[in-house]
Amino acid sequence: MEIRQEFAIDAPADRVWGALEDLALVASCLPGAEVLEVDPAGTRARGRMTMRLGPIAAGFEGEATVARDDARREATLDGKGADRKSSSRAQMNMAYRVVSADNGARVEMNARIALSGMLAQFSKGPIVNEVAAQLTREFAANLQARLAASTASDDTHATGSVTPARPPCAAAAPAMNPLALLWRVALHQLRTRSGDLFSRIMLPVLFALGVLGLWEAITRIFEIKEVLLPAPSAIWQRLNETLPLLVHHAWPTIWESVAGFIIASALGITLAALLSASTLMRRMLYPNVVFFQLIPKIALAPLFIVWLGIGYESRLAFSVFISFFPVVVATLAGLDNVDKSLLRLCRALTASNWQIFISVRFPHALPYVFSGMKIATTFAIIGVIVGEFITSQQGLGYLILFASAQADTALILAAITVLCVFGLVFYGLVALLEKFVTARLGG
Amino acid sequence: MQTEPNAMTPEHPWLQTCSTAADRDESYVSVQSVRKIYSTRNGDVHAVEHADFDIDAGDFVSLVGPSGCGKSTLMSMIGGLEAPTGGRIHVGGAAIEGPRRDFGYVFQDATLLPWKSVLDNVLFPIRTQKRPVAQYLAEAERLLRLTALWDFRDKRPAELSGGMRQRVAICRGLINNPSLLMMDEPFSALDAITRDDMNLALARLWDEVHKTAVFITHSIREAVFLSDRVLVMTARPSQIVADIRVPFPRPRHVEIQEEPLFNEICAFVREKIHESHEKHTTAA
Repeated sequence: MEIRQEFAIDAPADRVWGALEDLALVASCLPGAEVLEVDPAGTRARGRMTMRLGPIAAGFEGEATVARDDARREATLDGKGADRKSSSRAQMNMAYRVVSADNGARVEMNARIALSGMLAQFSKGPIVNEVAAQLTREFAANLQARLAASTASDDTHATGSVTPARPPCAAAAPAMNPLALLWRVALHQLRTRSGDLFSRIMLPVLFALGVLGLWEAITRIFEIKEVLLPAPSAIWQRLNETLPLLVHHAWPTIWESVAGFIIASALGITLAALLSASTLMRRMLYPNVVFFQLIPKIALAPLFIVWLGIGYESRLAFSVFISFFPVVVATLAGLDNVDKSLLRLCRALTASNWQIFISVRFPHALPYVFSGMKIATTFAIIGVIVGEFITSQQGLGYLILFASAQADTALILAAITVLCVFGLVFYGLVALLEKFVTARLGG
Repeated sequence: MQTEPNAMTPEHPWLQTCSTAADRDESYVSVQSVRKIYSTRNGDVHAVEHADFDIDAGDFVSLVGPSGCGKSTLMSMIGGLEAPTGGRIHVGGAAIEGPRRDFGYVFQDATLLPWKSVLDNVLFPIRTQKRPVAQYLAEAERLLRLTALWDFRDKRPAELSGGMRQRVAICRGLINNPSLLMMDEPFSALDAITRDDMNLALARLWDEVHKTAVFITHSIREAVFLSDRVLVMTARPSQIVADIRVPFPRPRHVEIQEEPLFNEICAFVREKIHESHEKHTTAA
């Protein structure tokens, strides 16, 4: 694809041309760009370019070669780079020249860009042109500011004060406004109806809304009794009416699930660590863990009532029991899956088993641990609800049973809606914790 | 030097006999009649048939040979990562019984901790060996500056190129000021151009650090360019067939690769390796 851009700048053409020779300076004016290495001749540079193109943040790293013709103030730049994260490649051949204009200089650019990989999906003409236009505007503004600053410093230099001939390299230009760009891209994706963002977020939401609408329509058109299937609007109304009741019953369900989840995670991680550290433990316990995993655990729920009574203890214990297996299995997989060469390095460094666990195995296993914990959030709620079905005098599970005895279908569905919201928030919090821990660990 | 010039080959003054000093325990590293046999279901595999050589303190010694000639196994045994089936290995007067805290290791993969920054990766041996980190910060900075990585000290390994990652691994190998650095094909996973750069970088680094090093490679030019001494190994039988003292002074520059003597030595090594290879293939 071809892109043409030009901008005017308020400085003599020779000065602009001279400034463009300094690749580090050029990069500092280009939002998101960073020069890693420049060869002494100043014609080859290795650099990085971070930018948002649609929903993807791309960090291109690559090399560029510049061939300049000082007499004609024309140059060509050939660059190519790759972004490992989105496995995309980009290649660019750009010709640019600086011409004198009425009040300063004009820079004209003509670039041919070839993109491949994931980013290519977003390289539809309008978007790339939009990005290029925005980059050009910001580049021009930054360059102008830089040239003005350097003029000022030259002036002070002339009066004899000791200042560097060139302005100290200021902080890199701020990255371009990603939100505005994202919005434009989202609109574009909606228009083309093929984009990633559209298909990943809008499509499922629209589908769900459609199903709700259909549900509403069917219950109205066929005048279905509310006992059988209340309309979404009726459920929403019931939810509003009974909100204090729902909140009252949601509380025990929530704290029991969260407590069950925390205990299950702690136990699960500890057991997995034990199994991974000791061959004896693993031989003895792991087959049994797998065997227990196979039991349809809900069938065991009444036993917990027999053992622990009808208080919260039995529900908590059952919730722990049911949600701890995914944590064990996932954590163990993570602990076992450590790169063998890393373990060899640790052995060479005479690290103790405990040190290997703390500094290598466990950090490596963390993503696995969290994937197990995310599954455990759902399981912990299931455990509590099943317990409430059997014995409780409170909790959302109890409320669902109670409402079904009253043939209050709308209340059942309202309680389930509350459960869904809680489940979503719970899962979201664990996902947030994962982000936080991963960031801290790396820091 | 404990070795004598070989009188049999006056046309190769840089070739030495593998013969050794009278009192072998005097030399810094002493590998004496070392064998390594792996017992497998399909019978014994002779990974190292016979290795017998000494290394002087401060020498950069390459073990060069084809894949599967046992050079990595030999290095693992010197480094204490594997026990020899027979023979003795001494380093600094003490028998090797396991990995030692005063050794440095660099492996074929950079094996960096992906969740740690470059600087923390370099300091990993210090933390693991419970040395006082504060005392090694200056050394970490010096090494990272020598390898042009100081500006990247806060980056994660995933943000670095393959060559940079391997340079981090070398800094990590050197951080505890090791009495012996072992490098097991550190550049073999890199592309040819990066590899040339890395060779230069390592040569420059060696102008600064002067360590005793054992360097495993299957690149003949790399071995000759980097080393004070090159030991040529062959497969089947897995043993050392030539011992070369590379006559180029340090600091080494790229230009020496163009010199006739450099190419003469490389050709000699290649011939030695091929000789044994042909013998083996005709016999088979």
